[in-house]
Amino acid sequence: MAEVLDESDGEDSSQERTRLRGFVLQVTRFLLRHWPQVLLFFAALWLTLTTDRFWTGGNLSSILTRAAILGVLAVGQCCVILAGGFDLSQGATLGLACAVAGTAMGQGYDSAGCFAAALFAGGIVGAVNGVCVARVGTNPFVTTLSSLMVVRGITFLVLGGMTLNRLTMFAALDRPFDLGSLELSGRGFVFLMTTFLAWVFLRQTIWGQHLRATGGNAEAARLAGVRTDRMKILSYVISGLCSGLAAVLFLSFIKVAKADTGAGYELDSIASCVIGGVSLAGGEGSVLGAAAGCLMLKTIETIITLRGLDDQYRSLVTGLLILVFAASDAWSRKRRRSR
Amino acid sequence: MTEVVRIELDGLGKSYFGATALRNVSLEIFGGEIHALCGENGAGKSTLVEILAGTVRPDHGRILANGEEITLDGPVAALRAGIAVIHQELQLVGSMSVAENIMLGDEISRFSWLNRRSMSARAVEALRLLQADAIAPGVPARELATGQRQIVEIARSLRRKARLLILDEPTASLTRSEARLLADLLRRLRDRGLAVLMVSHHLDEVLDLADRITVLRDGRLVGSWPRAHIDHDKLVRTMVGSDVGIREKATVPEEGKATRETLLTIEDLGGETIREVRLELVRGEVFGMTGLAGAGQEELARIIAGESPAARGRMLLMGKSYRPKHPVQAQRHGVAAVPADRRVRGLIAPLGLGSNLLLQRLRRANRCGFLRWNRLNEEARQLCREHRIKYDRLDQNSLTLSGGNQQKVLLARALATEPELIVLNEPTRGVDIGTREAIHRRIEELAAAGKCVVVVSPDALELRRVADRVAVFRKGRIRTILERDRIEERTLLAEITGANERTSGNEGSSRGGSS
Repeated sequence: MAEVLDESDGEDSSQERTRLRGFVLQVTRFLLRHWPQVLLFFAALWLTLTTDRFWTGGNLSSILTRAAILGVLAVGQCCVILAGGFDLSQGATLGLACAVAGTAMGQGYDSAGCFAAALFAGGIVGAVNGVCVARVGTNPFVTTLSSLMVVRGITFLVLGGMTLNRLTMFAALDRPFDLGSLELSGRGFVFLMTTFLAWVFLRQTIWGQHLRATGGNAEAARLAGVRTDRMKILSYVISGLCSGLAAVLFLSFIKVAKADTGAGYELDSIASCVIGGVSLAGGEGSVLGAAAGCLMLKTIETIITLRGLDDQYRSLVTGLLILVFAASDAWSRKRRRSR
Repeated sequence: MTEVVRIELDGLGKSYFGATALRNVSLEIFGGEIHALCGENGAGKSTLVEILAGTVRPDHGRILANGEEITLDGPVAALRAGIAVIHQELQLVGSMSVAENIMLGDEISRFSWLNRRSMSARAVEALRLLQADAIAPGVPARELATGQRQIVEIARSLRRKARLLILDEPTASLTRSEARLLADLLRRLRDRGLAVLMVSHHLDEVLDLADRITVLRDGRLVGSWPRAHIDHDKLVRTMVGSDVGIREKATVPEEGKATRETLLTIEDLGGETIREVRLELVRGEVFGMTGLAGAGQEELARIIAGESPAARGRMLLMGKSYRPKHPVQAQRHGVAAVPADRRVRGLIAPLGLGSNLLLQRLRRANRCGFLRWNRLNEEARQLCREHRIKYDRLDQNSLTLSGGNQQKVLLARALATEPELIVLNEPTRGVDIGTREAIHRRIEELAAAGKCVVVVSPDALELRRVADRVAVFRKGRIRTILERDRIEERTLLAEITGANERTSGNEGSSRGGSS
C-alpha cells in the first residue's frame, strides 16, 4: 500500500527522481526478500575482517578449492530442488562413481575414459531416481533414500570390500594454474565453470525455464504444455552427472576410493542450497545462491580453524547457523505474506 | 482476428467406475458467442470441460472443429486445437514473473536459447490487447490479485491462438468490480470472434452475459437456448427438474421469533484490517456481513470465532467478557464457525467422513484415552441422517463428496458442538441450488430456535434470502447496517463500493443487475 502511494507521489516530481526512487525501492525490496543472506554475508565479512591471515589471496583461493567438491554437488542439488524434488543419494553416487572410475583405471583406461566412466555411473543413478519419481510416482525422499542404500551396496560389491589406492588419473586437476597474480586451482576452476554453465542453463534455455516452472507449480506447468515428468528426470540426471563430476574432483584430491567415500555429502549440499536461499518448496532460488551458500559454509569452517578453535565446534556452529538462517527466512516469509 | 470457429460435440459419453457422468451429449459452440453451461453439482459440467481440456478422454463420441474431427488426448493437444481452459483454481507458477507465465510452454527460443527480450515484448503486447497494461510484466505472479491472475491466464491462452476459451466458475473468487471487468473483457473477446464457454453457478451473471445457455442435468443435455428464449425461472426449473424447493424471494420474517436478548456485544474492536467496530448481535437473528474482499468482514468473523486475535477493543458474550485466544476456547463459550475454503481450512482429507464430522466431539467418546468407535460411528450416522448427507461409507475420503455435501458436513460438525452463535463464511459458495436452499432453511431454523447466525457472504441474493440485518464493510469499518426491508441488491452494491458518497470512474457506472 505504502509503495503504491510512493510511486504516485513521484509522478509529480521530475522523472529522474521517480527513477531513483524506483531503484531505491527495488533495492530495499531485494534486501528485504534476501535479508537472511544479507545478514549472513555481513556476519561472514565481519568475522573475516577480525580474523588474522584470512584476507590473503592464497587463503581465499584455498577456500574455493576446498569448496569445489561440495560446490559441484550443491549445483546439482539445486537443480533437483528447483524442479520440486531433492536428492539424498548424492554422497552414495559420488562413492560409486569413485569406485567405477578407479576400477576403470585398473582395467587400463586413460584419464578421459575414467572421467567418462565416473560421469556415466552418476548419470545412470540420476536417471533411475528420475524415472522412479516422475514416471512411477514414488516420493523423492523415499526414492533417493532407498537409492542411497542401494548405491552404497553396489559400491561395496564393485570394490569387493577392498580399498583402491593411488588413483592418480585425475592428478592434473590438483595442480594450480596462474591467472596473473591470482592462483586458481583446477578444482576451483571446475567449480566456477559448473556453476556458471548451470546458471546459464537454468536462466537462458527453454529447458531451464521449464525446469523451474515444474518446481514452481507442476500442475500449472503441465497444463501449459510443459513435459513436467521429463523435466523432473532431467533434474535428477543433472544431479547424478554433478555427483560424477564431484567424484572426479574428489579423486584428484584424495586419490583413494573406499566403500564409504562421500558419506554425508548429500546433507551438506542440501544445507548449502538452504543457506543460499533456494526454497525447498521448489521453483525459487538460483545456483549462484547455492554456490554462495557452499562458499559460506566453507568460510565458516576456515574461520573456525584459523581462530584455533577445536574442529569439534565445526558441526555445532554449522548446525546452529542453518537453524538461525531458516528461522529468519521463515520470519521474513511471514512478514512478506502479511504485508 | 481469427477465423470464426465452430466446435461440435457429437454424442459424448463418459462414465467413472460404472457411474455415468455424461450421457450422449451433443452440442455446438460458435465463435462470437458467449455460451453458458449450467447445471447443479454433479450434472456433468466439469466432465464436459475436462474432456474439452484434454485431461479426460470420453468413452464415446466425437469432437469436431469446423467440421474436422479432432482428438484431444492431453492438454497440449487441446491447446494445439485452439481450446484453452481457465480453471477455477488458477494455474500460474507463483514464483515466475507475469511475462514468464504468459510465455510458459510457448517460449521464443533459437536452438533452445531463450530470447528474453522478445518474450517480454510479446507478453506486454498480449496484456495490452486485453487492455490490462496495469499489470507489470516483471512482477512475480503470486503478488497479483485473483482478478489479475485470471487476466494473465487469458492473455496466455490468447497468445497461443485460442479459438475457444473455457472458463470454469470464473467469478467465484472475484470481487464485484473484478467480476465486472472480466465481464467487459469477455464481451470484447466475443466481439472479436472468439468462442467463450463459461461454467457458472451465478445465474444472474449467466443471464446477464451469455448469448446462449445450455443446461445439463444428471449427465444429460436438457436443452440449449438463445438468451432471449429463457428467463430466470425457466433456467432454474430446467436445472432442478421441478419447481420444488425453490424460493428465491425472501420470506417475510415472523414477528417476535424469539426473545430479543443480546448475545454478543462488540465494543470498539480493532484488528489488522478492521477499526472501531461496534455491534450488538441478538438471539434469533441472522446477521449478514458483506463488503469487498479484505474490507474487514472476514477478519471480524475470524476474531469472533477465535481464529485470530483482536488488537483493540472488547467483546461481551452473554454479558461476560469474551476474548478467545483459540477456536477451542470459542467453542467452549458456545461459538462455532464454518470456514469459507472447505478444502483448505475445513476438511481434513486423509481422515474419513465420520472422523471429520466428529472432530470436535472426540473428547466425549473418550474412555481412559481410548476412543469408543461404536458410539462415534452411531453418532456420525445420525448426524448424516439429520443433515441429509449423502455418502457411501463413513470412512470415505471426505473430499470425494460433492461440494454441497462437503458443506453439509462442515455445518453438521459446527452444529454438533451445540453453539449459541454460529459464524458461516460463504456457506453456499460453489454449492448447487438444492443444497443452497437446504442450508438457507437450516439457517432459518437455527435463528428460530433462538441462536444467532452470522453469515459472511458477497452474494446479495443470499443475504436477501436469509439475513435480518446486513452490515456493509468498507475499508475496515462498518459503513452502514441495512435493516430487512432495505436489503436489496442495488442498495448493497452501492454501499459496498461506496458509490453513494463519491462516484469514481467505473464504480459509478455499475449496473445493478450484474453481480
